[in-house]
Amino acid sequence: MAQVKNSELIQNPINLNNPITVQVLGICSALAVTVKLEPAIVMAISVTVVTALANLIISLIRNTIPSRIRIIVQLVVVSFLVILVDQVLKAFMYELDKALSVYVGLIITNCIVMGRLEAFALGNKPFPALLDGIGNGLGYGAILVIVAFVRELFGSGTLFGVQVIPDALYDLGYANCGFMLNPPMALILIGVVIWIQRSKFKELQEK
Amino acid sequence: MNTQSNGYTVVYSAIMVVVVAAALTLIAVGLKDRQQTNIDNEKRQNILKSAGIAVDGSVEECYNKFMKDAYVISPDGKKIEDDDNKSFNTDLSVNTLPVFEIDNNGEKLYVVPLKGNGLWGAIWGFASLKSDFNTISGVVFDHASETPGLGAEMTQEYFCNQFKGRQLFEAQDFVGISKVYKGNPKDPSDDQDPKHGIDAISGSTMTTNGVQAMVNDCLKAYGNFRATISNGKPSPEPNCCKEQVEEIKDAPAN
Repeated sequence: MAQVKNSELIQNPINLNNPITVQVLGICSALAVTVKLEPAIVMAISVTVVTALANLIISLIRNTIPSRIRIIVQLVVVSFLVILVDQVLKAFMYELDKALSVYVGLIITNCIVMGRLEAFALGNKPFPALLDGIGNGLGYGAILVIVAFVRELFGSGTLFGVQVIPDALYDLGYANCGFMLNPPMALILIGVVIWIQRSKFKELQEK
Repeated sequence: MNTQSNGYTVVYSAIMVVVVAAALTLIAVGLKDRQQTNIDNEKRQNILKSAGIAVDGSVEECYNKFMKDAYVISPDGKKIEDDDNKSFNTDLSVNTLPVFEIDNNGEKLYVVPLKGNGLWGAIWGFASLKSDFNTISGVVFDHASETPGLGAEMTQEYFCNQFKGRQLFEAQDFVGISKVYKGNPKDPSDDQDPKHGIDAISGSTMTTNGVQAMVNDCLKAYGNFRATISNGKPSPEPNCCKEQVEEIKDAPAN
């Protein structure tokens, strides 16, 4: 495998190797938590922390793991980190924990985490693995923020809970687009983002 | 050592499980106090919210400022626990009925907890009653797993606001809240049964049934307590019923 520069490990997943739009991983939670911006950002930070730390830990012990229980060890490490995040949220950010409720526990099912462990952490040194985890988390977070921004703005007329669409527009007959609050809309928006990304960066298009 | 051998695999798994379990236990124990404080503060906030008090600043300080007395009564209306903290931590059950007395700028309110079953899981909340222990001043609801957009609407302000001014008793008899159909809860002028009715949530019959049963069953249990404080005086007419109330058609059986 060619030696990838450390800076590229962080930059690539944000755009050219984005986990959601290019690797097509982690779509489920991207639909569920992007109704409003605040839970989307907390989720993005949680996934980044879990992916980065999981990558680091697995990379550190990669030479000791018996190959027969490889996946089980990965699951145990990720579960431990997810429970840790959940407990910390319950203790320090209780309101957000109530909003995210089941979705934090579902980070373990997010394909991005396991995907990067298999594809990168098992075969690379700890520091690059950490950077790869951070990069993929940031790429995931970028898409979540974009989708949540559109969904909250047009679905609720607010950003971060603060009303931004002026009352004057509502009086003229403008109404919030209720469909924006439903998961299928998130899928459509992700499709639009993929469309824009591929049009702009021709190297992503298959020959 | 051979990392692929059976013995190594077994020992490795055992050590990993023990290490992870120990670490998680330490974290859980270490954070438990903080988490319990958060849960308690949420309870205080809900008690104040049902009494119509918005929390400004520290929840605990606000609660201590407005809460005058907390006690637990038995089903026949006698006080069985007077300590404020113990009463706060007592769960609502058949034999223990907590009561929180709130003083909202001179107005005395009784706040009582509610517990019930929705469609998919538990529902709970608080109801605040005026000093006659008959007219509802406000309610707060929460749920574990009702459907978003349908049953979960029970937590919304427009649904809770319907309960304001409703009465539970007619003289000494418990009447409770009855369901009304085809109303528009967001339109205050469309109030079909101002004394006892609430508009059901469209598409959430089961959840609304659960809410109605919860409010009625829980508040009925305080009937004997009410007798001890109101000394049998009939409650005054709420302001909303000053004008003539139309005849209400019977709600269809469900």
